Amino acid sequence: MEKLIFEMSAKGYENIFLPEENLNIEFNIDKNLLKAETLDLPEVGELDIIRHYTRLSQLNYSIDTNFYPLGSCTMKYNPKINEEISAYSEFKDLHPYMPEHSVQGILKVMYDLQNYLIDISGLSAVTLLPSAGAHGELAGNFIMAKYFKVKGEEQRKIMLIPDSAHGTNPASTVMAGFKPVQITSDENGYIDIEQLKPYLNDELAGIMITQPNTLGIFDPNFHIIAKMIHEAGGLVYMDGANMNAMLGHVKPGDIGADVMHFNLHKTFSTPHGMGGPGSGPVAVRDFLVEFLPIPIVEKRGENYKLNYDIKHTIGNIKEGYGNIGVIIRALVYFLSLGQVGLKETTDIAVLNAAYMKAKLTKKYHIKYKTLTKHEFVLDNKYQEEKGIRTLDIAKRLLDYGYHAPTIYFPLIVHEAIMIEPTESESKKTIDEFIDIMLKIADEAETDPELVKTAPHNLHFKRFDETRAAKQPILRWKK
Amino acid sequence: MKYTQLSQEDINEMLQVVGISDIKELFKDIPENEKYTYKYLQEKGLTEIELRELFSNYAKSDHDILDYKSFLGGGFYQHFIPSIVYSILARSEFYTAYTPYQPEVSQGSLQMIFEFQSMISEITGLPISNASMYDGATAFTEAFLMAYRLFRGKKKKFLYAESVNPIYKNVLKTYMQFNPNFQMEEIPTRNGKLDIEYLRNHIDEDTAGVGISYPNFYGQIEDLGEIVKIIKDNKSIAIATYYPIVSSVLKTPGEIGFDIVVGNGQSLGNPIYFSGPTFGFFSTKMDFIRQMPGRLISETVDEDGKRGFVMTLQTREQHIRRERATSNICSNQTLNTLAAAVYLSFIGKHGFKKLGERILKLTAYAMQKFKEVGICIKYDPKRIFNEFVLDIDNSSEIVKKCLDKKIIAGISLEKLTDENGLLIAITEMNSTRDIDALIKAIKE
Amino acid sequence: MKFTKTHEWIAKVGDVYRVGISDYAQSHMNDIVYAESEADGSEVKKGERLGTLESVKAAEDFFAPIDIKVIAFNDILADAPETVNKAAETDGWIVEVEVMNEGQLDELMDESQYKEFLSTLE
Repeated sequence: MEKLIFEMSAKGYENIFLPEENLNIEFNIDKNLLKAETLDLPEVGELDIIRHYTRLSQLNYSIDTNFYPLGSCTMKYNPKINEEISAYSEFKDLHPYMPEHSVQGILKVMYDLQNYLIDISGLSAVTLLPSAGAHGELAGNFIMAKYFKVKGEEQRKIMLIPDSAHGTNPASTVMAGFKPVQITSDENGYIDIEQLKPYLNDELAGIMITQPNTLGIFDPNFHIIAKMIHEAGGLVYMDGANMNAMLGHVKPGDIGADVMHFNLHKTFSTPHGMGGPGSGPVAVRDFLVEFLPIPIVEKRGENYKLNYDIKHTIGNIKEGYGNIGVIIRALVYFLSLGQVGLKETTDIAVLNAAYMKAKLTKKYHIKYKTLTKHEFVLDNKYQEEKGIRTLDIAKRLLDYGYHAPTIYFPLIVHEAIMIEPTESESKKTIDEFIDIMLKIADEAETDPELVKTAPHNLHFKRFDETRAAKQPILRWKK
Repeated sequence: MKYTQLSQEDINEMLQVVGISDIKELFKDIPENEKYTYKYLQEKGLTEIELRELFSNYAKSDHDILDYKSFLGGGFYQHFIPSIVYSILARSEFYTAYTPYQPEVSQGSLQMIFEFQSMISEITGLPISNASMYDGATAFTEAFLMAYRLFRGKKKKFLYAESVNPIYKNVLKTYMQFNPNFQMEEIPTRNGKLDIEYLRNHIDEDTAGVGISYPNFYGQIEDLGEIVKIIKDNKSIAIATYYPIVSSVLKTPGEIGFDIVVGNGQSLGNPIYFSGPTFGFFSTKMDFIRQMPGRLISETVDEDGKRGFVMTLQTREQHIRRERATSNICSNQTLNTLAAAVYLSFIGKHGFKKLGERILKLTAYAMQKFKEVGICIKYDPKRIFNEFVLDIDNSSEIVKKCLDKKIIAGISLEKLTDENGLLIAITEMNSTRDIDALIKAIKE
Repeated sequence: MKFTKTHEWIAKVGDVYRVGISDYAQSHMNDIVYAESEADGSEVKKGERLGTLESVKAAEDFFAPIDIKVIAFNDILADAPETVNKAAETDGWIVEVEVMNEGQLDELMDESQYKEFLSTLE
């Protein structure tokens, strides 16, 4: 068990980092603003800090060490050239208030990424500002709200959201003043079109659709739904979390999306960083460009400029210009693949998933028989008879050295097991994972207790999450 | 480049298992797309050799601005970043890990975040801190939304100081504009500080929260104790956005009595990166935990009684509570909090205090030198930590002039705020020599 | 004790009415770690949200069985929310309420009707 960094302190120890400076000067500041005590920060030497955090890193599961089949998360390889280039001092040490003529290189990076995202969105303009997918959803919803406001249709408050959607969709839309209404899926996992009809009136703001949806199913009726929504005066938002299934095949704008966000940390290979930073650029159709948040990068003649003059802008949505470090990585990825590589990415991601699904459905139940793309959702129906829950299967996978798939999501599949292999994995890795999944299915038959009490081989057993919820301990105290 | 790993033989075999002869069949539900053309992206990918060459050129076209001495602040500050920060950040077991949903195989991330939460609570002086927000401005906005929830939507008025960073105010306005329930009111600035009388007269029983900045955008430290008292007497929520380096030597906002403390954590071990990624921190009191946005990590034990860490109180979050979540935030800025944890471990208890003292001394030095050459500093010199406004009315010209001397003198307030002036920030990265050069350049 | 189709119960205890969730409902939630209700004095119409129960990974609303006004929250639940799991229909009551319209009680199921209703569910 690794100690906390605070528990490693040697009282009085300090690292030296300030250069000598002969400053015979008194503080100017009002003495009663000063505090009496020093903060309880660690007192640990450099080597021990390195060892501590290195050891902590080794307690983690990561893409660079193992296959990470988390559905909906697109845990693809994070290319090292992205890391190298994004770390250039000429990018990372720039201050946002440096004069524009001196930061043309980074502005070009941003401008080019805007354009490449325009390319694959089939829409007219892109903002790189949002810090994450949910932040992009929020910006997109603000844009839609402002559009209706300017148009004098503020009564449009109903936002339709399929039951398979990520929780961020309803959570984001309410923050823009919309009222989410849940739409259920039909037996194919498609949106039930009949259910939309009662809402096609002048209170409809629009619909938020994840395409392909969280079942991995591409809804072939998207353009029909979009047409219905448009005819009722509403807007179509596409959650682009699953763009890894569409590159080179179909553009959201071409099937009727008006607003969408990308997740650069999913589709475009930037690392997840234990939860962030991500980046969630938003693309919009031509008539929504005048609502984009500020600033966006433009090219005037040979110069790149930050444009704050957007007619009906929703305003600022964050400090500065975006998660630039993430943006650089995504641009390197685009350039390293080109059109050909992007399409291949999607082709192989979908093939890997199809292959895995074909093999795993021999022993695992799948609720929707529809064709899927980059991911698919199994459940525990065959194993349930032995009292085995999805959580047990997930924990047993940990025993075999695999991170569990996404579980209990989407909510429309009872005890869901959501698997997304991505394009990055070799056939060997995929086959090994399949073998283990099938083995667990066998164990569930022959030795259910073994599965139910997993994990067995890890440093830790299951954690007491109930205790953490009832009596949370959220910080170290002396 | 190519990042897929299947051979043609693999592909053929896999197609056979799937029962198809061409990958195209996996896309048969997508109408053949004739329009799929690119306007900007080239057809072929580049190799590493080409990518390095291309991006070195972009980097070079960023001028030689990094050779300049900089006094830029305004929310982003150049601070020393220890080498070990970059060394740990480069560990891909951290940066290629996902959100720690499976605690048994994520103890590294979880313990790190727990340590980070602990350090942030020290810095803000409040007992609970979350695993991060996007940045300071969005954290500031979320603080107001939380204040609104704390009164179950019964108090609808938000007061914020004009002296808060203009971008923070703009983000706040963006988020609030579509909810007709919210009333926003700006407390004007008098002499570089929030107008206390105005606050006293405009706070009322409908006021959910009051937000100020410590120090404020002009570098001034407000009359915090008095502000908190007025807010508390009115039973509203006291919100501060905070420059965390201040806690090295000055009283923490928690100690002064603020209920919610947020800020941009860039100064704690993160490069400025042309504004991001950095992270927002968010601290509050235990009583308010149920309304807190963002992830929280708690200590607990496993079945054998071993100490470990898990994500907790997830029922506040969007993946469970959906439209009734405390926030829509999902991805946050965890990798940046790792930088902060390593940074604060290295700077340490004693180093942090020395850092703050060095900054105070350098700032005192700069102010004295300006005084000696007859350039006035606006507002109260005794309420300045490291940032101040020079009383000059041609600030943008001065900035231009200094650029010729390879000095970035600061931020011209000409277009940002009502009063003109030059906003100058001093950190440990500015030597007395740099400060002398700045003064000389301005004076010439 | 009267029951709703959404699995709340209401019963007169002494001079006041108490509202809770049924034993059936608690058995479908994992360990309850937190309980909350509308504030004292709030009037809640029949079928509107009266409060929320939380387990580690779920948050379930419960609703007013009839028009009521909240008098008090069960203090025991502040420290021991698991009481709802242990004794849903006795000590694990959630709020004391004032009934606004006693006539509405007749619209609810009695114990045997509720049992019959449950048998149709699975």
